[in-house]
Amino acid sequence: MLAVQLVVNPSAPDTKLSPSTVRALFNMRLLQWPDGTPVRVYVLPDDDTLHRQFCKRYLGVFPHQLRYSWNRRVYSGIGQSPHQVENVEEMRRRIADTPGAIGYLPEDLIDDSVRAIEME
Amino acid sequence: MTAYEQSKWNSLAALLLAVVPGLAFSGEGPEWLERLQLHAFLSQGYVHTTHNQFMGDSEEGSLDFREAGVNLSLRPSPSWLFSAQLLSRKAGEMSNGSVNLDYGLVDFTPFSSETWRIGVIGGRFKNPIGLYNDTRDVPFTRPSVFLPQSIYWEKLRDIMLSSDGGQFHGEFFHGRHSLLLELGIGRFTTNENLEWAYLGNDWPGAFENDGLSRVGRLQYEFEEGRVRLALSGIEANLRFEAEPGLPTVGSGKTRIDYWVASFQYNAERWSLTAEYMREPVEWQSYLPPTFNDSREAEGYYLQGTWRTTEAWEVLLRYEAAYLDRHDRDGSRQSSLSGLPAHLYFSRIWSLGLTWHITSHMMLRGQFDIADGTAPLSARENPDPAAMERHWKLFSLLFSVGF
Repeated sequence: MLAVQLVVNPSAPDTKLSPSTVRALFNMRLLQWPDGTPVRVYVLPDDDTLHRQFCKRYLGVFPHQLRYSWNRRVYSGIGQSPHQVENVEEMRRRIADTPGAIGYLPEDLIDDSVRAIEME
Repeated sequence: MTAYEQSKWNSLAALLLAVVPGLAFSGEGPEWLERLQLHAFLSQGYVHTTHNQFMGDSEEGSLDFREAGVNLSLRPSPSWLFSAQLLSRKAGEMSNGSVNLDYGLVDFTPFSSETWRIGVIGGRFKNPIGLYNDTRDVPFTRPSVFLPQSIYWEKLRDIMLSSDGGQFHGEFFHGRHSLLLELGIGRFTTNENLEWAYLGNDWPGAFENDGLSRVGRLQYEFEEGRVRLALSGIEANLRFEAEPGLPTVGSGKTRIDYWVASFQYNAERWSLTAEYMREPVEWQSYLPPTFNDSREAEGYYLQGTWRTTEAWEVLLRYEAAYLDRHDRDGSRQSSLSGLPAHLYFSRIWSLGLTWHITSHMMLRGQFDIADGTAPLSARENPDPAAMERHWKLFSLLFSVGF
């Protein structure tokens, strides 16, 4: 199985992200990059293998924990959920096309349209 | 269902169907559309009880439990959020399915970084109580068909539901720890259910907010909710203005404090949840003076859920509720009121099974074995003598949402 890699739109200002920043981004509570660009978070469905792998490796949470936190924000009106994409090709295309975008891809799908970003 | 209700239902269904195709391009459209989000849900329940009425004529098998909601949110910039949700809820005799504004708010969060977020909310906001109250009417945010009645009383939902006012919120993060504080002030929506619950009837006159109520929650999380601890509550004041000449009961005030302590542990395959509630209530300056009383209700539950596969989830729960914790068997209250003692307590075992058919579709069942009738509404069970202390409930809920 290919390793999952955090990726951003090439215009993103950071080159490295701390684990707590990554958690804050995917929990939808850190909503802008240091330069003020709004963050756009992209995820695969909860039961997707790559999503589960990403949750475990980068966030240290289970998909159902993230879902609880997104649902609570969305259905009580105090936040929004990430954009869910259907597959990794759509994920790559959306991240490439959207300034401020962040998501994840299998390593072999990373090309020049997106940028891999390391977690400290 | 009346023709009027039918037409409301149809128009809501039409609204939901009309917006679903729009989603297909919500992410691919112009930039402003990226900042707009739409979510909706629809559920239909079936409730069958061996005795007593819950959510309609449940002794015969009732379909009078339906929930439908649609919400829209717009984030024009990272510090501003506008959101609103319309909710239609049919709940037996307690809620008629009319469309209400569930929340409608503006959130301004000017201070935000990866370690903290501080902001204010204005408008109608969901009361932050316990682990489930904020989203209590959204089927797939609940663990079971019905939330444990010992904490999330169906008949008291109007106090708990939402407030019209303002709220401060602050979130603080440090490593694997986070702290969330919400403090709100406002007025809640009152209706006849509260009068049934606190005055035992729908008397001629008005039962309304007496000043502003305060609501708040302090929550600690370890590792994004692997462990979750919370303390929350609401302080509500109600005033009854009797219609002139009403012989049975005169004007008075009811003071309600309601607080909940919550615990949750989440593992990959299972979760353990426990909540404990206390609710001191005081009736003041009513006539006749025998109406004036004070008591402290108590409720708690312990719940385990087990995700056997991605699609299936099993739940086991025990809950208990006492309208007066100093009279748990109801004997004192029964001797004062002349009503059966089982109206004043309940102990319920629940077994639940959820099938996540797809990520947008869910079928759920719940089987309860109950001793006592405290959670049941007098409005649905107007003759206490006809109620049975021991009863069972079987329910099914089918939900779709996105």
